[in-house]
Amino acid sequence: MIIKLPEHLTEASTRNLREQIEFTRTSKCPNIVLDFSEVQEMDTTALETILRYMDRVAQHAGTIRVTGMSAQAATFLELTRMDSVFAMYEECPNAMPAVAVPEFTQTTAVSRAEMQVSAA
Amino acid sequence: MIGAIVTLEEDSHLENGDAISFTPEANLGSKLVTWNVLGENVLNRFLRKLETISAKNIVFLSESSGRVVGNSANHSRYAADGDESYSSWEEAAQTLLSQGVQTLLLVKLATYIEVDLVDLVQFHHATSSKLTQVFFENQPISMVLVQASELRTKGISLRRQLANIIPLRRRYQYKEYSNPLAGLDDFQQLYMDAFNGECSLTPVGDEIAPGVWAGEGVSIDPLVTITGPAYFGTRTIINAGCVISGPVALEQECEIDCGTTLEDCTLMRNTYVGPGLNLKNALAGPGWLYNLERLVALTINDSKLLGSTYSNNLLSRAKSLLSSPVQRRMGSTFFSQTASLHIPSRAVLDRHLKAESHFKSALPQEDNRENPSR
Repeated sequence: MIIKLPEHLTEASTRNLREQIEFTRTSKCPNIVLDFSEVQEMDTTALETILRYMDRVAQHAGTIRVTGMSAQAATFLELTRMDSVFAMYEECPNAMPAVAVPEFTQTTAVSRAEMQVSAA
Repeated sequence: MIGAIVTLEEDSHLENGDAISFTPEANLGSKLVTWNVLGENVLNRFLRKLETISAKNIVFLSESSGRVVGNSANHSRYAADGDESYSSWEEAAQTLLSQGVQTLLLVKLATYIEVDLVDLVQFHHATSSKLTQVFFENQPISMVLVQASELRTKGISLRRQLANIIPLRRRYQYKEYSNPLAGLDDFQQLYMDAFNGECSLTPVGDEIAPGVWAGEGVSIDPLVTITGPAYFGTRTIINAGCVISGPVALEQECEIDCGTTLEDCTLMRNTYVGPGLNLKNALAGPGWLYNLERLVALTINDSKLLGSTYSNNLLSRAKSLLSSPVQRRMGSTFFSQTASLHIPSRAVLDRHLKAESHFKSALPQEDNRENPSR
């Protein structure tokens, strides 16, 4: 699910964001892509909410990815030193919304290789 | 006798000279000339230049309203008449002419220019020019010197008289430094050029280390790493663990909280930067930030990140007032109460002072604390 973040990502808009993430988190496929392309303003409350849900979704074997980082959002994250954290969650431009966690991909690759070996 | 009319675009406030009320969306106009650059704004620097040509009668006008906007405490010595206001440019010029001004300097100050005014006046007189206009790289600058005798014809408006002598103008070419100050990028460029010695703009303060200047009352914690060039304006506070990687300029009364990194940035006066932040390639003021790399402006409505030191000054005062045996005794509990104050009012301070005296009276005497066995 792609969540397009609002222009003003502030305390006032975090309630809506929280509801959206909560709804997706409790669904069967808790894979969330946060689209920052329209974000013009951010504050620490919104940042805290996103970080908290990144953690919660990960606990439920889901993923959160970020995409379309606007210049304003990137500047805010750099100021708060969160740019390196969000860089780890950055979505590839052409990737599909739902992206598997790296550990899962790695495990699958290994088991496929094992299958090929066993098949040979 | 030389008189001058200095015109500023729109409603620039001379005494403000800061960026506190600035928002990224705001139209800058010629406001940048009233923002401090390395301790002093462009307008004041220009006014000091006017002293070199002994200009006695100086009037400030706002272009939009044609009224006097200046005459603050800093500029009163330049003002022709402290409380006089003019409904138009012509009225102001007429007043100066009636005061016996022989040469009139007309300036629209929106750019930073390093014209040698003494040389300009000498050129004007030596060439017996009726009107001399300053040119930079063959482009006219809004700075002209006019012979007052050419404007004394009765029955014709001053504008008309001025228009009549424009075809007879002489060009004064200068090749020194000029900065259009058209936006925040130009403003930042002025800082860089000053640091690199490409213009004659010098920092207000002392060079405390090679490439590091500081104004009066600057407080820098010993646990701060500084790489120049850097400028610290008057009463700026740099707290422990900060890393300053130049070129960095902090105007008056800024405060950088613990562990923050500043790199290639400029802070307007009274800017508070919160703890543990990373500010780089930016021009910032209280509540706003302009990223020079991404060319975007950001409003930050969080005073814990980028706020104003106005609100913190009172808090610091309160803390220093409370830095007594009481504070040591009460430890962090008492401090957490004070730290929660955002803008302590006088009433709040009084309350804390009362609390202090209450705690003091509750404490044992000084001698007893040093030697309890006594």
